[in-house]
Amino acid sequence: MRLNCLIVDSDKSSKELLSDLIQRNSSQLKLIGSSESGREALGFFYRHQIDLIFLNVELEDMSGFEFMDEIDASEDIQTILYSEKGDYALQAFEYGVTDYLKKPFSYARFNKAINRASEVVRNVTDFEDLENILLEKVLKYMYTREIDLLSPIAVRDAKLGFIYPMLSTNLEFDEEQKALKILNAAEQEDLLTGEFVESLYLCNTCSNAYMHFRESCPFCSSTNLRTEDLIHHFPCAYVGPASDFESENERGNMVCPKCSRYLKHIGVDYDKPSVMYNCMNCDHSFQDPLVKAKCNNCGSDTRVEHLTKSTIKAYRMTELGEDVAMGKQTVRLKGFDELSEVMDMSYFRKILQQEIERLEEADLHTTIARIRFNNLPELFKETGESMQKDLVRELYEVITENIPVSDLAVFNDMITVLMLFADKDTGKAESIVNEITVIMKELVADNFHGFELDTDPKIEPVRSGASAQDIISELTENRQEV
Amino acid sequence: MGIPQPSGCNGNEKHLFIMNNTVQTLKYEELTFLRVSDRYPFHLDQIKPFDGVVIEFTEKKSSMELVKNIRSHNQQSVYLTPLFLYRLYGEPDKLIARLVDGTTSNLGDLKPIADITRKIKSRM
Repeated sequence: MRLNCLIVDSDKSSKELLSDLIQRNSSQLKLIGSSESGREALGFFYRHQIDLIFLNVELEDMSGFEFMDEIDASEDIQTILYSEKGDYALQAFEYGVTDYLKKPFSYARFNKAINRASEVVRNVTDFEDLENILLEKVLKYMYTREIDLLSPIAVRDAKLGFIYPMLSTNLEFDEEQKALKILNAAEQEDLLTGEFVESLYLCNTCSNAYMHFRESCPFCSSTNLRTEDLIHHFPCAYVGPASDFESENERGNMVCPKCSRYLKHIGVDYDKPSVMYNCMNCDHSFQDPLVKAKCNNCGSDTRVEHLTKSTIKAYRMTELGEDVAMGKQTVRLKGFDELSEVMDMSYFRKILQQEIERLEEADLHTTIARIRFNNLPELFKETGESMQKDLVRELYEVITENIPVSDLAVFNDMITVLMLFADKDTGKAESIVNEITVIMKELVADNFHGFELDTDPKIEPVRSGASAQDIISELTENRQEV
Repeated sequence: MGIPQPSGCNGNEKHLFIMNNTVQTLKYEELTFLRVSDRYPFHLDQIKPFDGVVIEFTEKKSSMELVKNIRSHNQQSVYLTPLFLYRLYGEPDKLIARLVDGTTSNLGDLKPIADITRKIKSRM
């Protein structure tokens, strides 16, 4: 597989040298284009399928890092960053570049960098293929064995607590949760039909099913708690912890500290309506501890309300599944990149560009808005990676349900949503944004124990003559890193 | 260790060919099975020419390891191969039982596993 390359370098001689090096490695690399400025490169980047970018840190109109911010570099895009003057190695790797080269570099060093990029791209491709290969294996196994129902088996040392015999066998412990995703995707593609077997809670970070649950202090998170019954004395209505009722003179007897009467019969003269928790770490007393689940595998500690529920099903093969098993059809599962639709910036950019062109021809009002959820990273820290995606997807669904069908929304990153309001002035857009903000705040507060979402909206009219990318950049600049 | 070839077997009778002390072949009518022990490692490519594999079950862990290695192989001729457990004692766990196509305690009567093998091969 040859990687499509783009060179972004303001130094002409440096650009030519890189072109030569790419030509010399034409079995691995294909030069698609080269740009002398970051701005020009951005336009090129969005019009072509680029696998690998050779990027000089020192560009005329922006830095290489600003360029990477603009393209929102994902793991699908490999970047080899290089510089002549400064040393940016540390910053480069913080950005997750494939390799960093300090000029002048040797041909051998260049080769090492492109081999690294090729390997990453190959691994990504292989990963995508793996799910399809595994599903095909399972379908063939079911078909040749005439297995009517692929049912899970409860196994103590399995990551999910359950194993799908032919499928989980092909997965290492760390990736056993992929079995659920593969089967779910196969069900969506009508290759299998699922029947409910069990529901279970998995660790949000690593998908392990084995967690231990315990109460923790809402003030310091310590699990070192002491519990004490809360006693309600009926005659005088005094309510307090059991220790208040301990008699100093008569051990074993309980005496009300308010009315000095003896407490004799539970249910008759007193009851125990609740339990008081005392934190041995910070000495706080409280009645409602946080119940947390600590993963036995990765150690992450999550509030039980934030755990995600998964469903374990047994599966039957459909006719389409049989066709795949017999080789009449090939498997192409979709849906492994759960946020591809939510974060489809290229589509948003394209529609925005069309709107700009439309504004040049007619006297219309189109508005673009941004809402940044400033404190969402705090919530992400607690919920774990898989739930971050669920939360972003849920927010996206709420937004799309509450904007007119002619309008468009997209997540620019995990904490920033952009909305395009066609044929609406800023006033109309503002009222829609305000409405959405209220709904989202309520949604988050309801689901995360009153968590108060801090939103930062910005609403601008779309200007004719501007480029879509410029408008997006202005709206999203100084965004927070997640 | 050479790879035993089923073509070396002839006749339609039941036979036990001792190739070495870890790998043997069993023949039943037109079918030839590779008989292996879960205690001795062998190269999984040896499975390919055979109609099925009979694994001598000695203990759960090593049997499970061998069955998993076969079922997670990347070549269809290996991972779809009919697998049978030969056991005189011990109880295989439920996962192994689900990953093999049957068990036998009598290698003198290969008809049951031959029937299953033919059925599987007809759908491969």
